Amino acid sequence: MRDNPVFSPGPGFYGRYRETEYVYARATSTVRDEPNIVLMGSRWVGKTELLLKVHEMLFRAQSAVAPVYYRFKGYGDALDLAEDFIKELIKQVVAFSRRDAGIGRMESSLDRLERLIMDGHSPDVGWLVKRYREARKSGDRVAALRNAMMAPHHLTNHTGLRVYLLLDDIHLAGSVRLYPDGPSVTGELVGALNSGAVSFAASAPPRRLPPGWTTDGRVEALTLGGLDRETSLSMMGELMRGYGLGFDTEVLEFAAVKLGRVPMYMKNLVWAARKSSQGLEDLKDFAGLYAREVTTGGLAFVFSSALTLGTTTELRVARFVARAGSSSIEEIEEAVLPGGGGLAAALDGLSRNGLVASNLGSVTWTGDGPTADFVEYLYRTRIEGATTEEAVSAIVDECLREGYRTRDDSTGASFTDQVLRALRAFDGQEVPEELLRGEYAPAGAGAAGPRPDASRTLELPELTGCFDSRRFERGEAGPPVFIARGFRKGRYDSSGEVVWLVMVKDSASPVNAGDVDNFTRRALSLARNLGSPGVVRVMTSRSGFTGEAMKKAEGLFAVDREGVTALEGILSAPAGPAPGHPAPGPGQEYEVVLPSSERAELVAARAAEEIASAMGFSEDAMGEIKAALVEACINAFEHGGLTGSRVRVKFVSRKGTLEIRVRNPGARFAGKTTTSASGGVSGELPRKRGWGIELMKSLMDDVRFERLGEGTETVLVKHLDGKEDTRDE
Amino acid sequence: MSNGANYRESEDCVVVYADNYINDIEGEKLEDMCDALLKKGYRKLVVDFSETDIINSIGVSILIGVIEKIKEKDCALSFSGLKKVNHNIFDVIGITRHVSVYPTEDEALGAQGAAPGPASPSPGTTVKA
Repeated sequence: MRDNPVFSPGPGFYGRYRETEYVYARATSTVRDEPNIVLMGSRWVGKTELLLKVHEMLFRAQSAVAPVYYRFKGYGDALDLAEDFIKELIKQVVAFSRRDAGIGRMESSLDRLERLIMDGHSPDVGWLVKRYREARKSGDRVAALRNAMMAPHHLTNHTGLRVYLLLDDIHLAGSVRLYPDGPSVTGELVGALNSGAVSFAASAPPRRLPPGWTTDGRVEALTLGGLDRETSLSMMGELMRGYGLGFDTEVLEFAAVKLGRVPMYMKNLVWAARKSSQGLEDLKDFAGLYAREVTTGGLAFVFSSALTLGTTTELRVARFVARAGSSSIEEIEEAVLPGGGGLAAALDGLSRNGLVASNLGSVTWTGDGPTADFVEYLYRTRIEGATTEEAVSAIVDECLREGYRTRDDSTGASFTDQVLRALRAFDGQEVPEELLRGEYAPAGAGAAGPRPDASRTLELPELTGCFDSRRFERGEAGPPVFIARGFRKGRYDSSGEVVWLVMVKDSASPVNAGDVDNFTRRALSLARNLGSPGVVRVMTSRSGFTGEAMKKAEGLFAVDREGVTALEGILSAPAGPAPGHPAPGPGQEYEVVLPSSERAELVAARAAEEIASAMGFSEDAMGEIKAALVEACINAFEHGGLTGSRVRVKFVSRKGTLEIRVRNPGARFAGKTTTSASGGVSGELPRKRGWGIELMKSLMDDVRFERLGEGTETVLVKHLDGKEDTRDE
Repeated sequence: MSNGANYRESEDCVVVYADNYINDIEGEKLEDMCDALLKKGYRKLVVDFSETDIINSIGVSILIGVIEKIKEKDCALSFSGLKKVNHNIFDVIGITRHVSVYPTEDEALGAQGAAPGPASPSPGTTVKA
C-alpha cells in the first residue's frame, strides 16, 4: 500500500501544532452540527501549509473521513469551476479509498476518471460525473455548480464515506461569474457551504470572505498570525544550521520579528542567505540580506507576482498609508493627490491586493512589513527616481535603526547608555548634519515642515574624554549633561580643541521649553568654566521635543532617539577615511600644542598612538613611542621656563618613519645622559633621577637634540621596520 | 587607606594595583599606599601593573624609593603584569635586578606565599640579585 499523502505541506513545516490538531479533530469529529472553520490570515502566513498538513494527517492517520484539498483559482466561468471541483473530488476520494496518492496527483479528464472508477475497487462515484454532464449539457450553470458543491454531501449519503473539504483561497471564487456579465458564483457557493450538509475548513485573507458569508455560529473563524517566538527561532536556526551558516540568536530573533514570523518569508531569507553563503551573525548581515530580498530578490519576485500596483496613484497611496499605518481619506488626498482624483479607484485596487482596508473614512494598512518595504522600494525607484542602490541603502539604514532600537529595548539599555555609547565612538567621522537637527526622519518620510539640507555634513571630534558635568556644576537641577572633549580631526593644538556639551533627557516626556532654558543657561556656565574655544551644544531626548522647545532651540543641536540610533549605526560602520579627511598616512604632518597642565603629555601620547597606529606600528612599538614622547614632553616642560608656556609637538610621518619633534621655547639643554649605566656598584639601587634621555634613546631608533634660536627641539625617530623589530629578538 | 590607590589582601601578602599612568602624583600615591601597608605589618607586597600603560621617569624614581624602603625593612616586593615597554624600561634602569617580576598577580602571590624573599622565576622573568 502506498500511503504517501496526495499533497504535502513540504519540508520544513514548523509549529502550528495547536491549529492543525484543532482542525484535524473537527474533521474527524462525529458530533453533528459542529461549526465549520475558516482560517483567516494575511497572504503567505502559512494557511495553505496548514491545510495541507491537515490533509496529510487525515490521509495517513485514519480511514473514516476522506480529505479533499481544493484550491480556488482563476476560471472561465461557473462550469469550469464545477468541473474542476468534481474532478478533484473524485480523484482524491478514489486516492484515499485505494491509499494511492498517485491518483490524487494525476492530471485527468472526466472521461479518464470515469474509466478509472469503473474498475470495481473504487467507491461508486460514477453518478456524480453523469449528473454533472447532464447539467452541463442542458446549459444549466446553476445546477452544474450546485451539483458540484453539494457532491461531497451526496457522496456521503450514497457511499457512507464522509468527506472533509479543505478549501484554500476561497475568496478567489468571488471573481468567477455564473455566466458572462452575470452575478458571481459566490451566492451559490455560500449557499451550499452554509447548508450544513458539507464539512470543511476554508482559508481566506482577513476581510476577504465571499460576500454574504459571515462567521456566525455555522462557521468559526480561526485567525492565523506569524509563528510564535520559539518556533520561529527554532525554524530559522535549524535551517541555518542545516546549510552550515553561522548566526547570532539575537539577530535571528530580530529577523523573525522583522519578517512578521511569517514562515514563507523566513524560509526565503534563509535560502537567500544560503545562496550568497551569508551568515546572520550581526545586524548588518541581516539588514543587507533583507533589503536585497525585498527589493530585487526572491521576496520581491513574490510580491511583484502577487501584487498589482497598476497606477502611480495606487503606489503613492500605498506608500503613504504604509508609512502612516492609518490615515483619513482627507489626509491622503491632501498629501498624495492635491487637486487630483482617482483616490476611490486606487483604494479599491489596493484593497483587492489586500494592502489596505477602508472603513468610515479611515484607511488602514493591512499589508505586512516586508510588503511595505517593497512598496517603499517601488516608490523610491519609480516615483522619486532613486537608483536601486539608493533605495536598497535606505532600507538597510531603516532596518539597522530598528534593529539597534530593538536590541536596546531588549537588553534594557537606557537611552543615556545609548547616547554615551554614540559619544564614545566619536573619532573624527563626518555625519549628515540633519541627524542632529530636530526629530530625525529618514529621507523621504514626509515629515512636516522644512527639512534641513541633507547634503551638509558635520565633523565629529576625535574624542579624548567623556564625563558628566556634576563636578563642574554642583546643585544644578535638570537633565544630566555630559562633557565630551576632543580635537577637530588632525588638529591637535589649542585651536583644534572642542567640547561637546550633551544634555540627555531619558524620560517618557519630551524636552520642553523649560528644559531648553535650563540647558542653555548651564551650557553657558560650563563653557565658561571649561575655557574651550569651541563648544557644541546638543540636546538629546528619548521622547522627542515639543514644538515650543524646537522654537527655542536656536543654535542648539537636537537629537531624538531615532537620530541617536541612526548616529550609532553610522559610527559603527566599518571605518574608512572620510571624504576630504584621509587617515593619517605617509607624508603627513600634524601638530599638537600642549598647555602647561597636569597630564598634558598624555594628549601628545594619544595623538602619537593614533598616528602610529594608522602607519601600522605594532602595539609594542606604539608603547615605546608613547613612553619616549612622554619623557620628551616632561623634559620640554621642565626646561620651558615660565609657568604657562606651551610645548609644541609636531608629528611627521613619511615612508615608514615617524618623526616627532618636541619643541620647548625656554632654556636650552644639552641632551646628555647623566651616566651610561644604572647604579654604579653591583647590588646598589639605581639612581633616582636623570633617566629621561636614556629612556628615550633606549625606546626610539634615533633621538637627537637640535638647538633653536630659543630653546631646544627633541627629535624622536621610529622606523616601521628595522630596529624595533630586531631589538626584540 | 584612603589615598585612592587600590589594593587587595591575600593571607599575609598584599597586592597594590597601580594606575594607568605612573607619574609624580600617581607614583606618590603608590608610595604612600606601600608605606601605610608596611606600617600595618605586611611584609610581602606585590605591585600589579596590569592596568599601567605608561610609567614616566619621575614615576620610576619614586618606585626606586619604594624599593629602597622595602629593602631597608627587609620585606619582600615583587611586580606583576608589566607590559613589555614598562618591562624594558625597568630593565634599562636596572630595577629588574632588584625586584622579582611575574607575568601575573597570582604567580607573584604564589611565589610570595611559597617562600618569602627571592622566588624561582617564571619563564621570561628576572629575579633580583
